[in-house]
Amino acid sequence: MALPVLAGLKHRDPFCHITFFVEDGYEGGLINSRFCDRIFKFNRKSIRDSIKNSNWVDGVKELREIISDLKNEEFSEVINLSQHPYIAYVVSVLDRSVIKGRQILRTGNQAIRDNWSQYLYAIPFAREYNKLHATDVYKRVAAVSRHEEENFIKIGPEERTEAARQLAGAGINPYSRIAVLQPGAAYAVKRWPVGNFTELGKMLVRDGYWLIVTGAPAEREIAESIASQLGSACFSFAGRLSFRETVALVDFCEICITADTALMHAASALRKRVFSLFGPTNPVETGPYGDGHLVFSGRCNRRPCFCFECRTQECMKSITPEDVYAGINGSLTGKAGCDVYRSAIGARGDYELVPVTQNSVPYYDRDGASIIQKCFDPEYQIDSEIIADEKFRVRAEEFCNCVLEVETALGSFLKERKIEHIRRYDEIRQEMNKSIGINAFWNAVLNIKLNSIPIINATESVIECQKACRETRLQIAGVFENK
Amino acid sequence: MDPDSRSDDFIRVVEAVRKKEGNQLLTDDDLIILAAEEISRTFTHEEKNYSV
Repeated sequence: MALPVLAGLKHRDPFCHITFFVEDGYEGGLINSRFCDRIFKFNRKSIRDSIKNSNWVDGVKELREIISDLKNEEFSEVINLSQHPYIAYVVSVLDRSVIKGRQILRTGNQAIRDNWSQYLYAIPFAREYNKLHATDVYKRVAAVSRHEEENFIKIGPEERTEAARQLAGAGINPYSRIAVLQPGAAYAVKRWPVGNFTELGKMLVRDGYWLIVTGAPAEREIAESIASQLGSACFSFAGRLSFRETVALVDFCEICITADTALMHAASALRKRVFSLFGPTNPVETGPYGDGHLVFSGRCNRRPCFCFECRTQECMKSITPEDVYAGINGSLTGKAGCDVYRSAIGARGDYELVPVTQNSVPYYDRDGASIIQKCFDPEYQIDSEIIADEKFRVRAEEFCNCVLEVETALGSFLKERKIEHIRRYDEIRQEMNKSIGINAFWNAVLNIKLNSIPIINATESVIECQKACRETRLQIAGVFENK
Repeated sequence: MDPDSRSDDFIRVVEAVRKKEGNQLLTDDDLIILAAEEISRTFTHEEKNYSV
C-alpha cells in the first residue's frame, strides 16, 4: 500500500533518493521499482532469536549496526508508515531528520506530531468517520499528490520468463485466460470458505479460464484440495514459490479472486482486475487500490469488527460463489447476498467505493467523515449544508467547550500551582474519553496530541498541553467558521 | 516462542532504561535497547500460522 507514496515522492522530486527500510522477505513489491533507490532489508527474526537465546548482546549489536547505517544516511525526511512499535524506536534514533509518523521521544513518550499521522492513528477510535483509504492517508502524511502510473510493481524480463516456465510446467499456456484463486488470508476469519472457491472455480473453468491457486506454505493443503477438485485446468502453486515469484505469476493473469491479502494489493498494483472478498476488515481503508476492482462485502451488523475469531463467520459466508461469478462476467444485478462495491479514483484523486448493489450498508457516515476531513485539510471543499447541520455544530460546540475547560484547569494550575486543578483536568479528560460519535474522533486526536508532548519539565509540558488543546479547538472551529 | 526465555541480564538492562523514561533523556543506545526489547516480543507470520 506504500507504493503509490513512493511514486508520489519521485513525482514531486525526481532527484530525491528513496531508501525503503523493510523486513527481509517483505520487499516483494519493491524489487526493480524505479520509485525506490535502495531496499534496506533487515532480519528481525535473527535479531529476535539472538536476544531470546541468551545471545542478547549479539542481537543488540546487530540492531545497533543496522540503525547506525541508517543514521549515517542523514535522511532529510523519515516517514514511518509502519504500525510496529519497534519501528517507532528505530525511527527515533534518526531524530536529526524530520520524522513523520509514530516515534518515541528522547523523554520516553510516544509521539505522533504531524497532522495526517494523527488522523491515521485516530481512525480506530471512530472508524465510521473516516472515508479515506490508508494509501490516501499515507500520501497525505508524505505530502504527495496522486501520480498516474501504469503499474506500481515492475516485473523484470527474467522474472517473467521464469513465471512463464512455471506456468508451462503446470500445463498452462501463459498467454491463455488465467484466474488466480488465493484462498488464504492472514487469519482464519478473513478467509472465504474453501467450498466457495471450488464452486467458483468450476464456473470459471466452464468459461474457459485456467486457474492457479496461490498461498503460503501453511495453505498448501487447502490450495491442493481446491486444485484436486477442479481437474487439469487448475494447478496449485501454494507453498512452492516466494511472494515475489507468485506476484510474477499474477502478472500473467487476467483476474484475481482473493480475500483482504497482500496478494490483493500486489494484483491491484499490477493493474489486474481484482475481485476481493471482505468480512471483518474494512475495504474503505484497505480495499484493492485503483479503478474498477470489485469488492464483495459480507453482510453482518458488526462489520467491520476486525475480530480475529468468530463463531459464525456470517460475513464471509454471505458472499456466494454465484455473486462473485456474476461480478466477474458482468451479469451482476442490483441484488446480491452481500454488498458489492466498485472501486474508483474520484475527482479529488482519492479512492472511493461506489455501491453496485442496492441498499448497500455504508461503512462510514458520509457527512461526518467530510467534516473530519475538512478539519485536517482546510482546502477540502465541503458541502455547506453539511456544515450547517445542527447535529454536527452542537457536537463540535460540546467538544470544544470541554477542551476549553481543560485549558482553563491547566491555566489555573500554572497560576496557583494547586493540585486540585490537575485533578479537575483529569476528571474532564476522563469524561471526554467516554465521547461517542464524531466527538470520539476528535477526542482521539486530542489524546494523540497530548501524549506527544515531552514530559521532562512540568511547567513547559502544561503550557504545551494548553497549546495542543487550543490548536484542536481551532482545528474544529475552523470547519464551521468557513461556512 | 516464549517471551520469558529472554535472559535476566537483558531484562535488567531494559528495566534500567525504563527507569530513565520521564526523568532523563534517552540516548541512542537506550532507544536501541528498547527497540530490541520490542523486537524480542514479536512473532513471525509462520509462528502465528499467518499467511500473506
